[in-house]
Amino acid sequence: MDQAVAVAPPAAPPGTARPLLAADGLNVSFPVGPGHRLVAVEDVSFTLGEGETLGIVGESGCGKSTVAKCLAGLLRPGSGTVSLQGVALPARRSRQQHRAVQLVFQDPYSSLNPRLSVRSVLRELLLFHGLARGDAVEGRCRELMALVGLADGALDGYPSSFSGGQRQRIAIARALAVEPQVLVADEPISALDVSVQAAILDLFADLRDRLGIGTVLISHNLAAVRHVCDRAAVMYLGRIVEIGRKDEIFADPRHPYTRALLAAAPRLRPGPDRVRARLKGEPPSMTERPTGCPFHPRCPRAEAVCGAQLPELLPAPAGSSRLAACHFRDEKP
Amino acid sequence: MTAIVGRYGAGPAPEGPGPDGAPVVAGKRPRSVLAYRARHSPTLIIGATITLGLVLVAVLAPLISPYVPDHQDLYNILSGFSSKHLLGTDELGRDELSRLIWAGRTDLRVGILAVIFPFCFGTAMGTLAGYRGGWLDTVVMRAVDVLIAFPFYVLVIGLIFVVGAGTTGIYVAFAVVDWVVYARAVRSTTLVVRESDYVAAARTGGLPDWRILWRHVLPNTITQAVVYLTNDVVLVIVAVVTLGYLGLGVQPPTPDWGAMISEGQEFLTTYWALATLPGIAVLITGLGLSLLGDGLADVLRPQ
Amino acid sequence: MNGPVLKAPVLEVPVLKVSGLTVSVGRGARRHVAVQDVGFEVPAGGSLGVVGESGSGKSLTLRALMGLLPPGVRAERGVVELAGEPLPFTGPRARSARRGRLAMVFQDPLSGLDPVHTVGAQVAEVPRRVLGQPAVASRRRAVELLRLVGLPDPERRSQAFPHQLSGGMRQRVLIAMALASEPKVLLCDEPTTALDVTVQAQVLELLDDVRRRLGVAVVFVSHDLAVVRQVCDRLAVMYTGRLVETGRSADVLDHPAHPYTLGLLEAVVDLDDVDHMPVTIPGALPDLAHVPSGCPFHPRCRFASEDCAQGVPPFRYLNDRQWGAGEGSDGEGTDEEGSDGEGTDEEVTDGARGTACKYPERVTAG
Repeated sequence: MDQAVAVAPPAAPPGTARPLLAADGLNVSFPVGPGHRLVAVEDVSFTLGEGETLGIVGESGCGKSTVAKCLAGLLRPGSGTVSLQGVALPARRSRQQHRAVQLVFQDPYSSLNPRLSVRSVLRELLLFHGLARGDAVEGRCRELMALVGLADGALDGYPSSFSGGQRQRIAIARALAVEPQVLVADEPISALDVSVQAAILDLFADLRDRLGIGTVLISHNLAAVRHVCDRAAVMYLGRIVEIGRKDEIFADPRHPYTRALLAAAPRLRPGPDRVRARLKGEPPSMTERPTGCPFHPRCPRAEAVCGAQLPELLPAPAGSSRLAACHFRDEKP
Repeated sequence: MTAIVGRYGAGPAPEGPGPDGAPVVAGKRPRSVLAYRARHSPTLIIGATITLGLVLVAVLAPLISPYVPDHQDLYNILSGFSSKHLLGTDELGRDELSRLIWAGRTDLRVGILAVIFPFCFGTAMGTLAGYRGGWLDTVVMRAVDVLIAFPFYVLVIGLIFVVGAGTTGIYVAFAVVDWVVYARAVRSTTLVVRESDYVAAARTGGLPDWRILWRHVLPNTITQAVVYLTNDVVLVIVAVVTLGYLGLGVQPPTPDWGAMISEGQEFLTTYWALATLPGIAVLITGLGLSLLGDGLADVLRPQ
Repeated sequence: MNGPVLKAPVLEVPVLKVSGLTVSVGRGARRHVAVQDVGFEVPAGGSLGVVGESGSGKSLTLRALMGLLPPGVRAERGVVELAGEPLPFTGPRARSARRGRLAMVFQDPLSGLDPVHTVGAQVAEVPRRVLGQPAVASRRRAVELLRLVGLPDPERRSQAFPHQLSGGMRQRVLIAMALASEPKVLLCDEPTTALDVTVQAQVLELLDDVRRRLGVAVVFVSHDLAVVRQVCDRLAVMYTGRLVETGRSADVLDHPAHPYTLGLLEAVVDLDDVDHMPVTIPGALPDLAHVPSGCPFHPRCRFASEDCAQGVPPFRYLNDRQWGAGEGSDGEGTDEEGSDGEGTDEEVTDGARGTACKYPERVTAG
């Protein structure tokens, strides 16, 4: 199996010695049935700089949620490491290490304990980690509510009395309560109404600006990623196929899958006729992986070499910070 | 800060239909929803009334019982209903009503006490097995399988023969046999709750397992066990009565419905009240507790 | 005719005609209206998009059309006509009147298919039961239909069970089942919401293809404005159960005539429009049991004036020349002043463009 090559340097301001968060060679697979393994994540590496927002896009089965769980310490990768400030995080994280990376989940209707009030949830975390004591706890709870744009009265409420958008805010407040350095949001807006999605995206941008935390935003919504993120990574069948700054990725995609995703996304205002690169066939099974490039059976650009040799993640064009895993990465769309 | 609050709007205002299409009720805590449902559930109200009535009678037995239960009035044996003995007397001249009341006190007490250990132990085992999985799960579930394979009464009677008849025997027998159903029920719910996002959030929050189990898992799985508890009490009380009937339960002179039925058997054709009235008492108790259980299941169902 | 109706083009006979549809939920004190006075006409082979968020009533509207209202939900009023023939909402004739004429495609392909029967058998069941064809012919028809919806290797695939197929394939099977009864109208309730973006593109293309080839009219319910733009000629926007704006898709999306539509457009994050920062609509969707008096949107509307809170504004048709100029328009309409001054609304409107806002001109100006 090919080794992953250069990891993209973060786009954070120069002078940042180490990236805030780094994933290096993550591999996650599960045994299913006799002799078969389901490969969820293969050889995934990327970095996140301070105050940066990285988007991870891909469709179902690409492994993005699995990556989120590895980052948050909920899942132990078969091999590979997750590092914080250059220090590798062990499989069983300590309290402090857990605090550093927090997760915001997709479904606002199941991510809050129905039997606990908002205040109880926040208090529990604040007291357990010694972040506030006695009278200060209530004050801190109120600050958190204000940070996510909810009134103080929300503290008394139970999840069932809130709407989807409000529950997501509460979930974000819960994540922020432990003062994390990295926020990993797994499809935070896909279960919300359209008019509410903008507000939550706004909130993420706002938090990034005020608190300087790094954010990993996982979404299948390309438009959302384009608006909120600084950099983006595109995943397919457990691998990263392209990663770089967002204007590079969206304006000048160098991987056929990225191009297909952009072409397929419906637009509100019809622009110039885009190449309707319709993908052939169906997404392949995760247990029977194609040889060579995982995308080649469906790729409109595929040639013989694609089935034979796995393309590496290399800079495209040469010298840039953007990487693409395609033999034809130097061709413009 | 205020600028942001203004921009995002204050909560918790309702925002249209909730997940099941019904309008979200603004600001209502789950407790008041429970109270609302409780008030509107006839099953629960009737069941609770009957049960409460029985419990009151049992507790107040020393005050309301007209006679001491083992007071023998040998001039008045096997008398029918009269103003002196409302429900008549038995073959030893003891007042039937008093014996019913005191027997109820005994049987209810034994029944309720006998389920406490199974409930606690079974819930604990089910929770641990469901949450941890692995060898613990295997061991617990195999134990459950073994115990469930035996017919309930065979095991209970067998154990009583070993330990000896009487209330101790009853407690031991049920402790060994009855916890398995709780374990199974709680384990299944725990398996589901374990995968939920809020438990994952608690884990990423760095909270230790015991804390997660106590505050996040258990409150969401215990309703199953509680509902089953009310049905189990009926089962156990009936079992206590049955054992009493067989002479293996509560030992004389302590009055017990089962023993009363057994003693009254021979007079079934003449003085039917002696055997029938305790039976009716068991019936009413079972009915009250069952209705209470159904009502609770209804009220506690997930929203 | 009372109440709002998105009318079909004048020279085309509408295959589906709905007017005054009102659906209520619950009983007694807890009764509230979930769909209020909705009407539209769909020409044969046309496509209508119904857009809204949760609580807008769009899904219930579709279910009412299909006669599939859940218990506790009643269609109080309204007329639904298919090719001129009225359809009852309930009762024994409800199903038979729709069989072979109206079909529905649901959102979740996994729960729409029976897991214990092969997909071929499920598709074949329709010609067999509904159209009364013999078993062998039905099976052949099923394979044909699966081929029509673009399922690769249809003979072999028809022997597969639903769980063996991917989400996209399952949705195609659902569409095949819907088409099997040879309906005149296909009702689609968020059919691509659960699908990946690339699969969604394929399924939307399929629906378009089917519409053109078979002349089936499509009513497409969605919360995604970009998707409906792609699929539908005409749009109806719903808010808290009412129609707030109707018109040709391009007109509505490029020149909205209702503040809610404008709000939705501004809130949506569009892939191409890089500079546009999404703006959230202030306030929150109201509880259907406590809809604000007057115009239901007014508490959240930045153009609202005092009189917007008094009395529900009537739905009215707009002068086509001023509100997007119809076929092949790019705003030319506004330049035609016409020497004879303004015509009355009836003259220059074909009934497609309508709004429930008293002051739609504020929307364009704002």
